[in-house]
Amino acid sequence: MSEKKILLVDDSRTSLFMESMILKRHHYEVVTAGDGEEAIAKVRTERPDLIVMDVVMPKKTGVEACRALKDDPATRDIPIILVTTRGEGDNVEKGYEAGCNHYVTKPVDGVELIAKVRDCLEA
Amino acid sequence: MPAADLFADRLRNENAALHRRLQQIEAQARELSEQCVEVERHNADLANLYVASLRLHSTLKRDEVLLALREVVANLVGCEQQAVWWRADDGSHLRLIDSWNVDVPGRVEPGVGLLGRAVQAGATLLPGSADRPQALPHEQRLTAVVPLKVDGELHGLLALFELLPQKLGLDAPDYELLDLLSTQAGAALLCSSLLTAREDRS
Repeated sequence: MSEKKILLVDDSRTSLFMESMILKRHHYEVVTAGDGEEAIAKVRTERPDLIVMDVVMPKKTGVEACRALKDDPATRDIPIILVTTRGEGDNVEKGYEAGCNHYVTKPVDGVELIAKVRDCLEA
Repeated sequence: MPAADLFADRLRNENAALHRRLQQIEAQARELSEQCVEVERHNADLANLYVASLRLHSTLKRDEVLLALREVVANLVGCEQQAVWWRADDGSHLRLIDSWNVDVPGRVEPGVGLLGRAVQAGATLLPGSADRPQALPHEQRLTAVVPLKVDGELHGLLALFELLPQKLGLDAPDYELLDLLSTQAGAALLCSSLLTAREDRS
């Protein structure tokens, strides 16, 4: 079986590095992008099976990028997990309105992230 | 006892034994699953220490070291209100070199307030309710003060104020990370400061 490909999107190199390590340890192939615009471009070239995307980013926020990807028939079926700084109602609600499938809060818990990744990929 | 009853008895006993065995296997599976989660958490904690160290030492530019420190504290500890003070050239006080989402004074005097107490003690301070009366107004929301040290000598202070709302408090892996930051961030900042000073001279 081929590895599932995950696109990680975050403007923080620390987050990208840490989340990459968690996902690679579970044998996922990881590609990265540093903002929402780059994420949209990478989705078209890399065709990931799942996107894990930070909310607060330059150029295009995670919520905006999520909405754009879910509005496009070519990318709308790719599950998206948003990484939020705050797990409070408003942020989460905006993410779900934009079409995200799950969210995790910072600091990211590796066990929780893997559980949600599996949930998205096995759904 | 008729043979049919004996046979039924034997089947009942076998059935009960199988049930007991099944319960044992289920308990073992639960235990293994919990151990797996524990190992996964431990791995993640070690990975955080590795990532923090790597990020801090991936550059010799002071601004980038400070950015890495911000990111590490925000993403691995869960605190987006931070400040860093660094020792003044004459060593008499510390001066602010970075702050994020907090309004803090430009200098810290040894012995003054909780920050000054941390300077004198040279050890990580985790202010509790007993410390609040000695806290200056800007120190009321301090969560931790970490001395930035090189070879045991204090060169700076990292202060963490309010944690993210979903982060209910610091725990053992956070303390390990703060210990690592105390030496690794201290060394990275000192190296980058020395390099900056040398470049300024030449």
